[in-house]
Formats: sequence, structure tokens, C-alpha cells
Amino acid sequence: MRGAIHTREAGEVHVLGLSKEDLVRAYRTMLLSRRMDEKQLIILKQGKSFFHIGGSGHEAAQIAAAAALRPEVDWVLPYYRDMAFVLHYGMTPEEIFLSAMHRQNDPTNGARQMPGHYGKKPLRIIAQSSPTGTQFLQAVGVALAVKKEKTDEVVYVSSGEGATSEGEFFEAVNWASRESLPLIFFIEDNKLAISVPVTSQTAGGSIYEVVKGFKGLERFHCDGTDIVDTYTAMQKAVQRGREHHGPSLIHASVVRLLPHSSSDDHRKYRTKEEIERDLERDPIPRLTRFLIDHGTLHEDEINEMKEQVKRDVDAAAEWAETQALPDSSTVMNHVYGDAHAYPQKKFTEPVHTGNKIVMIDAINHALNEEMGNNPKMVTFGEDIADGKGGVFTATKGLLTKYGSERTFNSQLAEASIVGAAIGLSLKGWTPVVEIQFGDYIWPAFMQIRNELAMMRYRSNGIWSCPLVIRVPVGGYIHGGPYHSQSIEGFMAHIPGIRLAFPSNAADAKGLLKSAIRGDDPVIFMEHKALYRQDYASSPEPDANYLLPFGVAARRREGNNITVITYGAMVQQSLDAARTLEGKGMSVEVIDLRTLNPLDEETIYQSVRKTNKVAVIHEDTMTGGFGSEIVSLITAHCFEYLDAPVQRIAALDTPIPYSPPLENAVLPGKQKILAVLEQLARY
Amino acid sequence: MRVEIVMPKMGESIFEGTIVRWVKKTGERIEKDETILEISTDKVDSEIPSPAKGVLSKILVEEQQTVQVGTVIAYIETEARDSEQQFQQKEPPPPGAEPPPLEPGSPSVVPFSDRVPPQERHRFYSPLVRMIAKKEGLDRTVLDRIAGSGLKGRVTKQDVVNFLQLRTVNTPPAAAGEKSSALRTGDFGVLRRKYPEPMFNLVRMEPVQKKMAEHMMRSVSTSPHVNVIDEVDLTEIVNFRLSILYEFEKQTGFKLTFMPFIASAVIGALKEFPIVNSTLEGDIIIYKNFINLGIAVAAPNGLIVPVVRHADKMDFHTLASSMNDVAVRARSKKLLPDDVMEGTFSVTNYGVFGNLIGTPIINQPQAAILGIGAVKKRAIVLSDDAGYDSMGIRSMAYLTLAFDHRIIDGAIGGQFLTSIKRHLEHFDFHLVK
Repeated sequence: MRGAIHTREAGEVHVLGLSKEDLVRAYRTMLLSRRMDEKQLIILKQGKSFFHIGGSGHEAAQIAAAAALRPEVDWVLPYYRDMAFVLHYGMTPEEIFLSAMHRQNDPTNGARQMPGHYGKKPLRIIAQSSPTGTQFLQAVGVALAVKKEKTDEVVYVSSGEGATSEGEFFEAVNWASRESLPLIFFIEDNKLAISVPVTSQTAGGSIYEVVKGFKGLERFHCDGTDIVDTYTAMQKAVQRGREHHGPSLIHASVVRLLPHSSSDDHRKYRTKEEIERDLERDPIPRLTRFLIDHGTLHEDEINEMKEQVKRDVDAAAEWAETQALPDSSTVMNHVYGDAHAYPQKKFTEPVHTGNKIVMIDAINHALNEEMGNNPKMVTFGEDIADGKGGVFTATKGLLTKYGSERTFNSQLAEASIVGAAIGLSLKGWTPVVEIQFGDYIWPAFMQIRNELAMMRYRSNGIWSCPLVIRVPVGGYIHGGPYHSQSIEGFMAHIPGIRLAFPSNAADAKGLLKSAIRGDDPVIFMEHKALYRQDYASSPEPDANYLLPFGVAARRREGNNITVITYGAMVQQSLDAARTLEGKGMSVEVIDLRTLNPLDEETIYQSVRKTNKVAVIHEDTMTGGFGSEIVSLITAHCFEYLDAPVQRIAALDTPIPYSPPLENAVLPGKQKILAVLEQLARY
Repeated sequence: MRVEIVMPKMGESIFEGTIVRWVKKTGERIEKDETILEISTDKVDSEIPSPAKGVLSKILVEEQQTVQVGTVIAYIETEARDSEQQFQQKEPPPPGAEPPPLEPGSPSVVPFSDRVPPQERHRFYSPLVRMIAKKEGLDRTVLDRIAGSGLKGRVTKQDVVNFLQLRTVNTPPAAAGEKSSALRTGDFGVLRRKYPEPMFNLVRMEPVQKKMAEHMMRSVSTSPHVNVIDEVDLTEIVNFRLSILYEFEKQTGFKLTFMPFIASAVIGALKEFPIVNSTLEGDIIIYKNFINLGIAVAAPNGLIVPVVRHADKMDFHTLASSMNDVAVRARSKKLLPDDVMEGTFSVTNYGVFGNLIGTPIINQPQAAILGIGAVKKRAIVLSDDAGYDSMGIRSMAYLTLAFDHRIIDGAIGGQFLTSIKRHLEHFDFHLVK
């Protein structure tokens, strides 16, 4: 074994701080992990489990990594193959079988994720999700939090070599390197990403070579089948991190002795010789030989160990099988946080300071007040730092007042903003981030849809990441197709995220403060055309004003027609209502304020009164959130309808730049009047 | 919720009305449409039906007092929730649709579309309109006759609301220029002295009885009645009826009587003599191009003549079924005010009581009425084609046609009756499927 420094005492070996006990324990974990792979495939074939993704061949590397870290202190984000890692880090076979056999008391995910998504909160093992590569930016967020807390904790994130092709990997390495984060990227290179060889994956065939250019990153290459070699590299990386010298990438060369997962048959794409070659590098026989050669263990001790492991694993599996399955009545638990965490009960009538402010200033003041309230709140995004203070000046003054540790510019990468925010939130911080334009939120959609929205549910409430993503949306500003989009249609379809869309300054302030203090991730949509609009301005509510989510506002009372709307369309609806009043029509306008949660009761009450409804939004018609509202009305108010429910929305096109075109696409006063008049005549 | 009773406007030149009698007293429960008081005006006296179900909570104007039209004269307390207030509210009329003005003497004061047959089911009613109809007890036949002011003639919420509002001041038809036929309200106190108990028993007439009495007086004083009588050989019909009686009841669920045969014959005769199916207004004869056949029924609370509308357009089965339907509803008090309106000719069957011959009174404003006596087996002289006479036992009945000699003379009246006889004695049984 390379790098081994050993003293020859009778039967004792000291290897770089690894005592005999450490080595024996490591060896036992390897045997245990290998046996767990075998047993999990057995129970799968017995129909007791439905999926297994094994780590045979990776054991030495993973155990070396685990041995170099401190459970309950350091933060780890292991990936699906890291069973040996988590076993050595403190998880038990029982816990892993609970997960494999989808039992109710599975401590990793409450049986809500497939097996292989290891996690345990007391050990600071953050359970990952299935999409490869989403863990890197979250690890960056956790490392950012560590750095702000100024401890000597380090953060470990692992993956296979294939996941390093993901763009988010490079975003993460870039961020970590630039800001000297205490983060260790542990890449277990088994040369295969399911069936794709690394030569078809990575430029030059090695991620170790690729990251050479990242200034501030220390990189290590090691033989992942050699426990000592890997441990040496890990120790250096860990020390680097603890001493705040920056991130490391460890490229560990391992072998994949099993197919990718129980759903794969690697004989389809690997030759027999290739598989044989990998078997020759199997870390277990290797360490066995080493231990025997150095007199650390005798053969019969080893055999006894193997037998004991077998018995322990069988017992663990047997025990897990007796445990209760999850109850179907729990299926809606943990989609959202505790409702009482929402300031619904603390709703107060605002005490207006008297000064009329525009919406952008209301937002700025809300941010300012909440930053003052909560020392663990951070704001970041592109261009948000002073002197610019955000492209719309939403965050002006925050850096000056609260410092660069809490208010800073992010890199120009939306996935980074959201991923890092998730990591920070997991570690107890309150990120309130800005995506510069709704049109650019899409790179972050993977993090939003698969991570942010699902974190609480998939971990059965163990992990959560409350945070706020502020995002300017909407058109009417000659912004063309990429500065005018509405995004709520996509977001409303995702369970797990709250959505706010205020129409005026007072609502914006109250809702933003509620969002920041709330228990759920929020996408806070701000209509850029309303930012400085006089009609959207209001007397400023005081610092205690929290507007609860799920409470719509009746902006105008009426008897003949109900208009359900939100955002910039509120004012347009009110204008239309005023015009129609002159023609003897009485129009009621309901401003939804939040789309999730949705105030259904206010909608139904109004519909039951007027019996004629139009739903108006700026987003395109097909599949827009309006279709959801119409469906709800039809289902709940059928007997009260005296006309078909109408929708007014943008045409199903991108939003063009030239005003004659833009005005033809987006809903406007003429369109609204025409539809409402038709509705009245029906 | 409190509902107001107001003094209604009984005609264009009427500006005030007198409370004749409060039929219901303070604290009494009232059903919707039940008579709540009687009023008297210069032109017409009328009973006023209640616009709501509830309790008469307060009477504001006493009997014999005269007040302006529109004055609130009483309150009813209903159990309706405030959300139903909307159906009572005064709402601005929808653009382009004015409710028709109340006309004196018009058969109805609600915006009915007179020509729409009740069986027409082509109209669309929104979920809301259907819910209101259900709540207010408007069945399909009523809904079908409400004019629609919405798009393409759709009945809107407003149309139904207006109908319900105007229905509260609906009054029974009263032709202009008629002599007042109202029975004087007797004074119990005075009469008790004149007719003391136990020798005498004083019972005030039920409103329905009173109505009937007044109608009869009015009819006799309006139309010079002439009766022509003929006998009809119903043997063929008797036999035919017996032969299909069981099958018919099995198929339809009700018993086949003689009435559909008679109705069928009457309809045939009316088509030949349309003047019998008319009404006189002043010196103008109003011929009606439809036949709404009234069938007199002895209902629990008195005689009533519900109408089968557009009977001329029905086949035998539909006719039989409709006649059965109105009779059943009449006996179970399920008739709506509209069911007894707008008849064009009436038939009354006193034969069910065993009486041979009658002289009925015309059902105003119709021109004639047919009375049917009991069907009895009699010995009859039969002449065959060769002229030989013999005796036969035949099922015979006497028909009486009472007609208004202002419109119909003896020749027409006689010929009309003969036509009915002919239809019956040579009945086309193929019509009975």
C-alpha cells in the first residue's frame, strides 16, 4: 500500500493515524457493506424490496473518507452508492433495511424515496435525491453556512464520475474555489455511468485533469481500492478545509463489481474480461491479504468475522421485515410545513405610517426590516449588492447596512442561486434570494421542482428548506419575449412551494415579510410594471404587518359579475369595472394575492352571489393557472352558474417586443370589456 | 326575512283599493299562493295570493279601509335566509329587456310566451335557473313559458326573478266591463241574531266556494244560456274500451275512462265549428287557433276545471294521459294557478253521479260547455239499412250542450252537438294505436 508508514511492533500496524482497531473496524465495515449488497439483492428477488443500487468495489474509498471525517460534526451529502460510507459513519443495517423494505419508521426518508438515499439527521447525513448532480450546489450552500459560522466543520459531497458532466457540478466547483469554501468533492470514478464509459463522458477521460484550471481548488488523485491511499488524500483535504484554506476534489479510482443497479445487466455492455479485470482490484481481498500479511488478523478470525456479519445482516433484515408499513392516511403529511408556522394568527390590520410608497420600495423596506429581525437571514443574487443594489433597486442599502457576509452577489447562474440557498436553509439559515427575471428562472427549475419543493415530503419531514425566491415577472414594458414572461402556471403545478403575487405595495410588504418568516419555500412574484406604478402604491404598513397567505382581497364589490384575478390584471379589471358601471353593470373584483395557498372560499362566495364569472390573468391561456380556477368553480359552484365561466388571458405566443404586437398578445382593457359585456348579455 | 304585501294595481286607471276581508289573521301560517286577503276596486274585486310562505306577522291596514296602490298593507315573516334576499331585490333590468306592462283584464300579468307549447323541451336552462326553479317550486311547464331576455332568448336569472316578483301580484282573469259579481261579505254578528243557534248553523263559505259562486253568477249574467240535448249510442266505445282496458292500464299505469273518447270527439267537432271555440270581447269574436280543453273535476275543496293545453295537437294516448294527469293533480290539490287558465272549451261529466241529463253553466269566458250524463243500457229501436226496425239493448248517454246565444245560434249549436254525436257513434278506433 502506497503511503503506509508503519512501525513494526508485534502484530501492530500504525498507518497515518489509523490504529489496528481502526483498520479492523474498517475491514468489518467492508465485509458488512459487501454482505448488505448481497442480502439486499436476495430480498429484492424475494419481492420484499423493489430496488437496490450497490457499492461493491467502492468500499475502501468510502470507508477511508468516512474515517477521515467526524460524525455529528461534519456535514455529509453521500450519494446512492455510499452505503459503506454511511455504515462506517454510524448508520446501521437495520436502518438501511427499513428503507429497502419501505417501512414506516425508515429514518432516512420515511419510505418515501427509493432505497439508496441515505440520511440521518443526528449524524448530519443529508439525504440526497435521485437526480444526479443536484447535490453539489446544495453542498456549496451548506459550506457557505459553515464559513459564515466560522467553525472548523467541513462539508463532504460525493458522486460518481458521470455526474461531473452536469453543469451544476461546474457551477459548484467554481463557487467553492472562488470563495475558498470548506468543501470536499469526493468523486468515486468506477469508469462507468450506467453503461457509458468515462472516455465518452469526460474530456481527457478524467475529471481530475479537467478541474486543473480551477484556482483555489486543491485536487487529489488516489487509488480508491486502497484504503490507506485514499485515507491519506482525505486527511489532507479535511485538514485544508478545517484550516479554511479552501475546497478539494478527490478523484478516487474504484471498480464497479455489480451492475449499475438492480434494474441493470452490465453483461450487455461489458466484456467478460473487463469484469474480470475489475474483480482483480476488489478492495476486500486486497485488505484481507494486507491484514493477514501484517498479522493484524488471522484467517479464522476473518472467517468468524464473515460469519458474524452474515448473521448480523440476516437478523437485521428479519427484524426490519417485522416492522410496520407506512399508513396510507399519512400520504398528505409534510407536503408543507406546519400551517401554524404561518403568521395567520398574527394577522393584524396595518398601521400605516402615512407615507405612500411604491411597490419596489415596499419590498426593499420589507427586506431591510427582516434582515434586522433575523441575523441568519441572507440575501443574494445577481447584481443585488450595493452600489447597484439590484437591477430594479430592490436590495439597495442592504449590503451597506448588513455587510457582505449577509448580502452579496452570486455568480451568474440561477441553479447556483437556488441550490446554494437550499444548502444554507438546510443548515438553518434563511436565504431570501433574487432571480433577476422570471424569464431566466429555468436553469434553476431542476433545483426548484425536484429539490426545493420535495425536500420536506421526500424526507418525511426530517429535512426542510424554507426560503424565499423573489422574482420579477410580467410584461407591458416592451421587454420582448425574455423580459416579459409569467411563470406562475408552471410553479402552481408543483406541490410543496407557496406562491405569492401581490398587486400593490402594502400587500407586497405584508406578504414578503410573511414569506420570509414562514415555514415553506416561497416563490415571490413581483410584477415589474407595478414596481413604480402610482396606482399600485399604498400608504406604508408598519413593521409588524404580516399578511397571511391564502387570504384573497375583494377590491371592488359588485352584484352582476365576478372577476377573479391577480398581479397586474387587478388594476386593469378595476378600470374595466369602472367603465362598465356607467353601463349599469356591477362588477366584483377579487384579488387572489397568493395562488398557493388559494383562497377558494372567497372565490365561491362571490360566484354564488353574482352567478357570472370571468377569470383574468396575464399568462398565456392554455394550461394557465386560470384553468385551475375555472375547474374549481365549475366543480364547487355548478348550481350557481348562470353563464359559462370565462377566461381572459394572453394569446398562446411568446410576448413580442413591438407595442402593436405586444398589445395584441397581452390582455388589455378592450379585451376585458368585450368579454365582460358578452358575459353580462348572456 | 320580512316580505311586504302591497296594494296591487288592478288596472291602468286604478289608483286605490279597499281591503274587503283579511282571510288570514295576524299570527296565522300562510302557504305560498294561498289567499291572504280580498280587495275591492272600482273595476274588479280580487283575492290576493300570498307571495311567500311564512307567518302573517303584521296587518297595517284594516278591513274596509281604502289605501293608495303600492301601499304596504301587511308583513309576512318567512324562514328564508338572507342570501335568498337577492331573489326579492329590485335589480336594474338587463339591457334591452323591459318587463311587459300590467294590462287591465289581460289573462295574466307575467311575461309568458303564450304560444310555446308546454311540452317543448328545446330550451336551455342554466344550472342556476334550474336551482331557483326547484327552490321556488316552478315545474318545467311553468319554466317553459317564461320569456327569455338573454342571448338567443335564454331565460336568465333576472327573467326568473322578475317572474317570481310579478307572480305575487298575479290575479285571476277578470274581463273589463263586467258587472261586479262579488258576494257581499256577510256580517256574522248581525246574522247570528237573525239566525240563532241551535236552530241555525252559520258557516262562512271557503274562498274557493265563494270564487265558484261568484263565477257562476257572473257566467249566468253574462251569457244568455241555451241548452240542446241529444242522446248518443256509446255501445261500440263501451265494448272497445272493455276489450283494451286491462292492456291499457298495464301499459300506461292508469285506467282508461270514457273521457278521452269524448274529448277526442269534442276536438273533432270544434275543428268543424271553430266559433264554438271562441270568446267575445265587446262586439269582437276572438277565434282561437288552439284548443285548451277544460275537464271539470270534483276536487276535495270543490269543483275545479283544469285545462289540457293544445289538446288539438295530441294523439289519443297523449290526450288520455294528460287528462288523467290533470285530474290526479286536481284531486291531490297539486294544480298550479296556471293549470286552470286559458281554457277554450269545457266538458263536465255529471254522469259519474248517475245523473241522466244536466244543464251546465258556461265556464267564462268560453262560448259553450258540454255536459255528459250517465251511460245506461236502454232498449232502443234500431233501423237497419233496408229500413227494418228491431229492438236492441244499447249503452246510451244524454249529452247537453249549453251555449252562449250571443255568439252561437241554435243552428250552429245543434249542428255542433250532432257532430260530437257522429264522432262518438262512428269512432275511429285506429286512433287508439
